[in-house]
Amino acid sequence: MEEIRAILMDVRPEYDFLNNVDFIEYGMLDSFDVLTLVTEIEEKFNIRIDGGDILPENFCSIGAIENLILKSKQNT
Amino acid sequence: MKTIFYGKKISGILTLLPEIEYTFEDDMKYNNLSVKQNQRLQKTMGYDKHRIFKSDTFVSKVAVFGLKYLFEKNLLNKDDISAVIVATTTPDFLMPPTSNLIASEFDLDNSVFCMDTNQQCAGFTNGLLQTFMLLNNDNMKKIVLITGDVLARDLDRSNTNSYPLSGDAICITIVENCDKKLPIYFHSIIDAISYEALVYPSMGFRILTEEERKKFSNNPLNSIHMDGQAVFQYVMQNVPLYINQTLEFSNALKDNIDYYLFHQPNKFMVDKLAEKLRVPKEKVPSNVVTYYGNSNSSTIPVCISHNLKDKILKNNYKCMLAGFGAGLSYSGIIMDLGNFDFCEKIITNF
Repeated sequence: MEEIRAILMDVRPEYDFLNNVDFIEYGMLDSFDVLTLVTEIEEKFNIRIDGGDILPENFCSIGAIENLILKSKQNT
Repeated sequence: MKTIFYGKKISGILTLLPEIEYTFEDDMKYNNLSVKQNQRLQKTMGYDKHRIFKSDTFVSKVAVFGLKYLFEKNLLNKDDISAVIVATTTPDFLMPPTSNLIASEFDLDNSVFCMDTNQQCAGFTNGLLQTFMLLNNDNMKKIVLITGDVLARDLDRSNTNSYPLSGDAICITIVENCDKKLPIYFHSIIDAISYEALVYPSMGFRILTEEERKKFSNNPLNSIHMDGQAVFQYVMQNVPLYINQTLEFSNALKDNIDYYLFHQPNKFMVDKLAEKLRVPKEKVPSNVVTYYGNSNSSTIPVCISHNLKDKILKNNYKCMLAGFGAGLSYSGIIMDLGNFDFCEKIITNF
């Protein structure tokens, strides 16, 4: 979880991503941030995220991102 | 729609590029992102440079220059032209068609058929459909298909969503009948219900409702409205399905396709599409936006000119071409490409 938070804060250092809010709805991450996150997460965790999983609901919270990473690990 | 043509070939492609080239480092000076954010954007999207036509450039000006080049090099004989098709989002005028203007520049015979078509991202593949249909008439010699826009010159340089990936290019593709009666498979799907994901309301005659103004109000009305998420998911969910349907229609196995020559919205999307299709990235060039920007209906011929320029003169490849995007629409073609008479890129003074 801390690794994911570190990546998020690196992409958008103005937020601490500690609040329990929807990162997308709250405007903390835009569509380009999501693509950047995909690239960073793929490199960090040595996985491939399926293009069909690049959806707002999979990047709205640290938990959602964790689930996506787990799913992608199984598929890679 | 699915249909099969026989005995047609692309005999040459000429790509005409703008003189002005901007690097991503040039563009960075105009946006509000930090250096680190810009570096990330560049890395994720594969941006490097792009070319933009000068503000006094218009489609027929570049096309006429290109055709004169082909005539002077004896790569095309004016008297062999049976039709001119222009696939563009930026016609010279609303009336007459830009193809007519081009024909007038060369005083082409009045039997030459001229037509403009407005198909954006599927402009090349749908333009080829037009050429193949025309060539079903035995008295047709060579069809000149012209693709591209002069769109990028008016974009906002501070807009990181659109500017770094935009680019201009005009391509001239020559299509003709041939003795080899190999099949060409054409497959098209139109998801018109999803048209709102990509709209360019400017210059149209439709008066927007209040609801439409709100929907397209993220950008000024003279720029393109895009629901990035919807377009991305269309390419990730629908397009792979349609590509597989096209392959099935042609009875082609994925492994037997030498090159997948896709429309290039950006590198990230094309690479993800290749992963989704489980085809080797070496077969799916994704570098057009990196070097030239997204030139709309010209990205596929630019892709061919850049990646297969020398190989395609002497060799033959089984290829899949696919245009997808505005409409929302998809059109795929499976055909042999090769033994071109010419495949060139010129950097113009425009």
